[in-house]
Amino acid sequence: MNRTLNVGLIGFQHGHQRDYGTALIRHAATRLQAMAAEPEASEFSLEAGRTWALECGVPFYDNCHEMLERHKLDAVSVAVTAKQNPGLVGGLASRRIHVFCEKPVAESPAEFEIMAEKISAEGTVFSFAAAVSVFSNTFRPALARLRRGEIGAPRVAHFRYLQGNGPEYTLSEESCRTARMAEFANFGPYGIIAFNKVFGRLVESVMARFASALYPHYQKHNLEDLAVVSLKMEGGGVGTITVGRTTTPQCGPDVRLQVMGSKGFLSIEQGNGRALTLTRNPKARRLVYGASPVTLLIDDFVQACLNRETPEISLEQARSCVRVQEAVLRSATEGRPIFLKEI
Amino acid sequence: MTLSGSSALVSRAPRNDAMKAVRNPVRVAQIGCNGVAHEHARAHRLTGNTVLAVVCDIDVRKGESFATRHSVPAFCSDFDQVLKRDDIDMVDIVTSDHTHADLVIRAAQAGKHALVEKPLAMTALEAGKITEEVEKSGTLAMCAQMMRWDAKYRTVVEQVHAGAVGRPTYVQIWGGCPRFWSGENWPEAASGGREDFLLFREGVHWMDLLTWLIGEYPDSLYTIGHPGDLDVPLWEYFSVNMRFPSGVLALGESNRVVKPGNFPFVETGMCVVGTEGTIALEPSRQAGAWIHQEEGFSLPGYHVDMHPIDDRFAGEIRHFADCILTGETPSVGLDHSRRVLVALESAARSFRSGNVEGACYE
Repeated sequence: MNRTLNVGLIGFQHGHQRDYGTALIRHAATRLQAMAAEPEASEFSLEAGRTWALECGVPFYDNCHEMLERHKLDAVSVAVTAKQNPGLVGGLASRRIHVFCEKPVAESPAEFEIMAEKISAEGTVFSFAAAVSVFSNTFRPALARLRRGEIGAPRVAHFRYLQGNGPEYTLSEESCRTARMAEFANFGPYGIIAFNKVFGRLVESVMARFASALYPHYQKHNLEDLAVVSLKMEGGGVGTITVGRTTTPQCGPDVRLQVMGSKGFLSIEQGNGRALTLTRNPKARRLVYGASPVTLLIDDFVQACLNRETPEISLEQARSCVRVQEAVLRSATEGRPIFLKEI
Repeated sequence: MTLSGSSALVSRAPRNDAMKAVRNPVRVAQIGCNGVAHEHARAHRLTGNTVLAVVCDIDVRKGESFATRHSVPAFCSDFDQVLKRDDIDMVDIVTSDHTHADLVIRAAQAGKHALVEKPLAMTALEAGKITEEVEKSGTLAMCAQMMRWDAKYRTVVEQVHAGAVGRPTYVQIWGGCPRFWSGENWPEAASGGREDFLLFREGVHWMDLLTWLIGEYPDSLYTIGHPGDLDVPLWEYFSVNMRFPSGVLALGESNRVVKPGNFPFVETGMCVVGTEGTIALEPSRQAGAWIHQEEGFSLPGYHVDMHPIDDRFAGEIRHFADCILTGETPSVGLDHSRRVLVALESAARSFRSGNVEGACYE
């Protein structure tokens, strides 16, 4: 078996491609072959991709199909919009290329199934960018201890992810015109995956409420800056997920998980990971030490590709996230609990 | 009104013929000797404006022992006899929840002011009757919401009211379960076996705090729960997802599913997100000190050993006695306490129906 993956990168509009791409390039079992722009790439994205490709000494293609024709790639990191994912990721799967994908993975369950069908048919590996609630150096050991049954059977869980730095990092006015959801689409998957991992079950029903009080462009397009979701899990567990983007400058998001079990209680107060605090004008920074969640997530993806295993954050996890997101959107819109079987 | 007070009659506008003057310090009969009654008896020594003159309980042995332990000069096992005493201005009702409404109404009818442990009553309807009787009698009555006199929660509310985070958009209150129930100690009489009793029992704490902070009452509620241990017939966990008329979203939690030793949850946490900032009150950080033993964490001096100025029980009693002495309206209004019960009844309906429920406060 070839123990080195030939990898490529597609899409540079999203800043996080730098994180995922860098982790993929630096992995000992990968060899970067090329980079390419996403379909309908902006000038910004094209320039970012060209510059990075030059730094890495690999070719850059304005058209990603050209890259795929010219290079035999095993895996690709894709950072494009949720709307572009189904077509692009499905096409990569058809070429038997493993995909690591930026979230949100898809805008709807129907669109997700387009690419999921191709991924399943070809048996390729798929993972996506939801590192924090599985791979941070606080979540990882905590989930391991949960799995060992140290607090008994989980009964209740609360997940909170409050990112700051709004409105600077909110969706652009242009993105708002077509987006169906804003901050829940962004941060909700962290909570959904955490719930799936904690309970070992899927979500049965959700009751969601959206607030839009902080950003005029969100209000204009009826998009949420904060979401509060009550969940019932299959098997009887319950809990809440609160995610949002606040207006305050923040040194890292407020990420926490509380799990109440039949024999004990688990509290993660620094969900983003154990960190040092560096105080320096104009604001403090949190420096997470040890292996970053992104590095571990990418390593998990690479290992899954090499060994043809299911990654920790898998296609099934993605399906769960997309379906719960759809249920959350419908619940917030219709003002009633939505059962996942309705989706 | 200052904390100090010599024994003297204080004149104020009479509410009716029976209420022409009140002694300072206010002379109090405490009704009930169980559980938090000890905190009240201790707190009366710290208020500066009350003196505990009589203790009353239907259990003679327990009541006499309580009176001796707290140096209360008189014990009486008959509530009606207490109400007939001219040397008593106020009753401090610390009995089982289901007796509150009857005792407050009888106190009002006898011309006695009444401080009553939460909940004010078992239903909003009962609370409405209390309001009517108290207004008719010209006495004062207040539901004891000790969290309002706890410096940490009060500071959060005062900061929010002062505009520290702009307009609130999200409030979460969680935790707060210092004791848990087992097959031996669950509140059988008080609960009447209602499986949603905890929602109500703890909800009167956090719903009061929440509505005080936000300044309005939820108009849409959705409740989830977990039964917890099967040896207790009451569900041990509830979470209520709420929307307020102004659009504020909130989560409130009634929780006894966490077992002893799980330190952070013995205190209540709060998170307020506003248009201009956030406030976080962290359960694990607010204690300042804790003890780690083989069986887990505990807080030294939980409910005890507080300075008189900080003591939340003394704070609520002192405030109510001040209102009696000055004729001012207590800060925890009876109609507010009734509305808190209306909200919790809606939350309980949601738990039973599995649907979102509205609330009608009129």
